[in-house]
Amino acid sequence: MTGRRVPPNIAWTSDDGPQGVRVFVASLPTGPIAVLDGTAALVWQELAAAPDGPVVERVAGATGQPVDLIRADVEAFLEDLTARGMLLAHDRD
Amino acid sequence: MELVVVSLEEWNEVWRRNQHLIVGLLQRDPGLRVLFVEPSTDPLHAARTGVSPRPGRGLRRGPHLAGVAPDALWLYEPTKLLPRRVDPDQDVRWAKAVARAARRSRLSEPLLWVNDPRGVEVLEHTGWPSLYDITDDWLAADRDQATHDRLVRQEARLMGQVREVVVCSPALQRTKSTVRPVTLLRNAVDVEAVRAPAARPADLPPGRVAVYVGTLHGDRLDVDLCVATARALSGSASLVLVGPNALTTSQDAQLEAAGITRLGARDRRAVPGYLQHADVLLVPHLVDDFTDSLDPIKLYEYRAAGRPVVSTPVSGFREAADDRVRVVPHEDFASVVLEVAGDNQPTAPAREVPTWADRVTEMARVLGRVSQRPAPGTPTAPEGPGTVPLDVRVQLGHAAVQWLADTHGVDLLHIKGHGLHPSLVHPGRHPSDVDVLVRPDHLGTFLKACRGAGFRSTGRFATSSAFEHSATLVHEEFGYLDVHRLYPGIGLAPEQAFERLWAGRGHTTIAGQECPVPEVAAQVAILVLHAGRNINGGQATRDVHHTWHAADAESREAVRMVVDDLDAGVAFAAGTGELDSLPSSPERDLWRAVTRPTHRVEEWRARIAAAPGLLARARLIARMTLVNTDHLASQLGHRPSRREVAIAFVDRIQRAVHELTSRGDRR
Repeated sequence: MTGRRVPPNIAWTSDDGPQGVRVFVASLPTGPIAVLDGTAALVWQELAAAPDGPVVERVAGATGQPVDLIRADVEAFLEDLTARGMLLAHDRD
Repeated sequence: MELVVVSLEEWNEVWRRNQHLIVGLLQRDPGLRVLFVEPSTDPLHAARTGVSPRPGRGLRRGPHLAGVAPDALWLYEPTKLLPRRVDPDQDVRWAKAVARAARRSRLSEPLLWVNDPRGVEVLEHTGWPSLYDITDDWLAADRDQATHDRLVRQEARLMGQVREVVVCSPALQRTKSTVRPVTLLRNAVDVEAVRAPAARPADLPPGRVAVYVGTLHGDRLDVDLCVATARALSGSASLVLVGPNALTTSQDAQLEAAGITRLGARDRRAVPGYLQHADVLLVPHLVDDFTDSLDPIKLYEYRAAGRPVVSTPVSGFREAADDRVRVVPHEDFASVVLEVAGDNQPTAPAREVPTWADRVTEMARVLGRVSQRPAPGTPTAPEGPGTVPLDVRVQLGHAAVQWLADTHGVDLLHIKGHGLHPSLVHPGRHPSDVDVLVRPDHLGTFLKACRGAGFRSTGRFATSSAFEHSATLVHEEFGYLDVHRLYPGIGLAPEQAFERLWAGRGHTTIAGQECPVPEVAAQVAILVLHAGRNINGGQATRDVHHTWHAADAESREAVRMVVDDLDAGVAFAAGTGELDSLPSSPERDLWRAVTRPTHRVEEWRARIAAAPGLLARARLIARMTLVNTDHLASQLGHRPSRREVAIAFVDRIQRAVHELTSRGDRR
């Protein structure tokens, strides 16, 4: 089973401004800085808080959506972040 | 949001309404970009009136401001080549030049903020959504007929075309609202800066002083009344005028003959010292329709300072008269000043005075209406989804720097900024860059690593300051990075000082990266040392109040121990405002000089005196008249050409000569 975590060459922080919570992610040491807002910010924060945890279930719990309804979208998003080097995939027992 | 501001005054160290409002808006809205258009220089007129002529400085990057993103502020100073009667089309060409400057500053759809009525030419050339901010009723000022007629025409066009009109005084509200609805947005003061205790400025004459703070302008200042007041005070107190001098030669000669001290423009951060140490503050203004249109900023500054005030019955002060503000007729002015100056009145407690933060909120609302969008800085402020706040850039910058250090085996400490312990951060503190102190042996490796990661140099060690302590780098994503090879004021050799701080280090996590930081007591010591290099009144002063003056005895003792370890006593005293309590020494004189940036000759003299050894002194003397090309590049927004360096070289010599002669230097 595949787990994901934030690799050591990624820095990230968040702010809670007029647009709601946003997450800013930078590849070190050069950037660029990517901005995640809305559900994307929520997914990132859930994953960063509990790497290898059940991200889809946690996002479903936070948004009140059925797990089955959001699973494909959340996993596609995580896959995209991994392809961009913002997350690291590894085998999980 | 983007703004083009056509200002009646240049951007310099004397902050007025425009600077306070614009910097406040920039700090609130990280996405805001501003082009500030200054009045054109007029070399021909300057030469005719005996002033040294100079061309306009063109388009250049604004100064580095706390809490403001790099490249958010650009300044543009054009040149007026010929008189208007010879070259009647110059206003149209000027408007086109402003539009070009806006494009070069990468502003595509700006709002236009007109303060100088000439801005109507820009409005009509570009069609930008506009507001007119009226700060003086120039139609009531004493001008030749042609100028008066032109101002009347320009104002009439503005009143008919702008989306909003803002005025600064109730008198202007009365007169201008007969033409169309206006919004009253009065002046204010930075109360905290004015009230923060400041040392008595060294250039205040000894004994009692009656002080006027403001621009010396014949439209406002009653020169005859100043002369009469100086005569009345003779032998009891000195009359001191602090501010830019825009008087005619004959008016200035009158003041000179009466023995009145004119100190010239002073950095805004130095002004509280003059206010606080005045025995009486004066408003010797003319009383006429023009001065009635003003809302003098000094009204707010004087009230915040809490010193006794004597004023002629001008607008603002007339309504504010109370036991601390004596409003007296022209004929009684001098005698009342003499009486109050001898009263030894204590400083009154702080009063409720409107602050610039209030006014920034009001102006943000006006701009919101002009743009027909929510205003910057209001709770509903729009921020593009891709906009990265400055605070976030700085955090990620710390992380990038630490990554470079870890991967290249470099020891460094994150000082200030987000490296500070939370207990040392006061409300409103805005980190605007990353500061690191690097182990001296690792400096070359670190700078090379930074260049490889996209940081480019904007300032070198040799040109950074009187102490040659830091190099400034900038990164497109992460903004500014100050690399310190030593910390000014620390007497220990740089390697030993770093080792002392490194041995006591702790860690803090910034954007997920574990960053080494000095122990908390050493962080306080560094903040206070930093304040010693800064004029009173800014963020550095607030840092000292928060971390030192408000600290308990145990914390102070820990800081004292660090200061002793680092051999930093003199600089620390400069930061806490206790420099005058130390015995005279070259080091003390250097620290006194660097806090008075308008006196560069004095700073150089102190640098030379404090330099260790003949060779170091000789190098400094050789560099005295060289141009700081890094600083010039920052001002111009590009590396200077040989011609631009040559112009700056001549200007630098002329400035030094002027300082020597204007101060009657005989040393």
